[in-house]
Amino acid sequence: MRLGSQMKPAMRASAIGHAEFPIWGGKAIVSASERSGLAAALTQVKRTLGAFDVACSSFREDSELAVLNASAGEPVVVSGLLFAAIREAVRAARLTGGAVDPTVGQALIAHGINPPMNDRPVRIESVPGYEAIGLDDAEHRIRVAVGVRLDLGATAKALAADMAALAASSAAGCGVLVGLCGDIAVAGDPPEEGWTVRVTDDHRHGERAGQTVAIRTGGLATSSVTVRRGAHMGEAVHHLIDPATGQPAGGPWRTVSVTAPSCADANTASTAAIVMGNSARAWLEQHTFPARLVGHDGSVYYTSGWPQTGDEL
Amino acid sequence: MRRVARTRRVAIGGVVATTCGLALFIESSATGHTSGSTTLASAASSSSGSSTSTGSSSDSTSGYNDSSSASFGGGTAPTSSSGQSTAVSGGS
Repeated sequence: MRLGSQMKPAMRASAIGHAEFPIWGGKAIVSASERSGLAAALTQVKRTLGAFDVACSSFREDSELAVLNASAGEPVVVSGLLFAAIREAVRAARLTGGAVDPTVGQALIAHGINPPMNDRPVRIESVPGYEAIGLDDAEHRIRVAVGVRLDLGATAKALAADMAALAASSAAGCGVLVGLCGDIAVAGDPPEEGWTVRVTDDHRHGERAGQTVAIRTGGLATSSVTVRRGAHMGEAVHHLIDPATGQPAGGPWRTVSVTAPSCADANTASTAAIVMGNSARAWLEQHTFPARLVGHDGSVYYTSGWPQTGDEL
Repeated sequence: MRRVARTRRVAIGGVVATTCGLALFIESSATGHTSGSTTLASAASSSSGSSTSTGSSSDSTSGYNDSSSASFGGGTAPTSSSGQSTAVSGGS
């Protein structure tokens, strides 16, 4: 692996190579700090995303996760990738006091956000919680309690961005940014001015009001309730489930953006902030997460050094 | 425990990342001979095996190594920028 110290000096923005392609209902972005590295970076990113799709998707019946969910109650040995993704999801649940929890699968189906995998009816109720998951690190064996359905949407996409960025940067020999449906991870030496990222409500609409910032390491993730993906009782709903109620999260925030040493942690924190509601600002400050929180009324708050200049709200 | 097949793990990416203290692998798999445990990588493509439980796992997360939790938080704040954005971070 080529490390940062062995790479060429940071390049100007004009030398950046850039590509986009659709992924998981949104957009993937791959940028390389040296245009010549883009092809190698793209290959690694697509390989990583393909592996994640096979292992972790809730939207295909042949994924490893779908088979694990169908085997609830039985200990099952899984691939290293699915095990790592579930372990990351359990870690997120522990660190957020259950605000971000992978056992929301039934609730997501009940709200029409995820597709049903069988004809069984599902009820909307508080989710079982991550303690319903048994993990055996030595054997990569997982047991999910009967009646529990896992969904890794809150963490696996960000983990995929982290892994893809690292693999792509190593292969390309330069700095790489990977954006997956708005979850941003960077690796290697950044461009001289850093990676400039537009922060707004919807990753498909960067022209909307927001803020442009620059990052050099780690990840930047945004969670928002403004994007509607499901429908329940004839009403469009967003996809961020409050595990305590099994309902789409309420609270004062419409959009929260967070930077962290990894995209996985940034996304865990931004999702948790939406779910935590009024207590989110104190929680983010406690963990020294730089964050931008936008209220439903358009008011904006910042934590832990997030820049306050240049914000259009 | 369901008895389906043994997975032959083939590293296609090798060790591609160390994130949050976890050594992560990307694997592909191929179905091999029957053994004593279910492997989802193979079960995902062929899920016709019968099931029995050995009770070798529990519902607790006591085996979970959460040593990486100590590093949660402490991100570097972004800087304000007026340049053309490379990417957009927003809801999905």
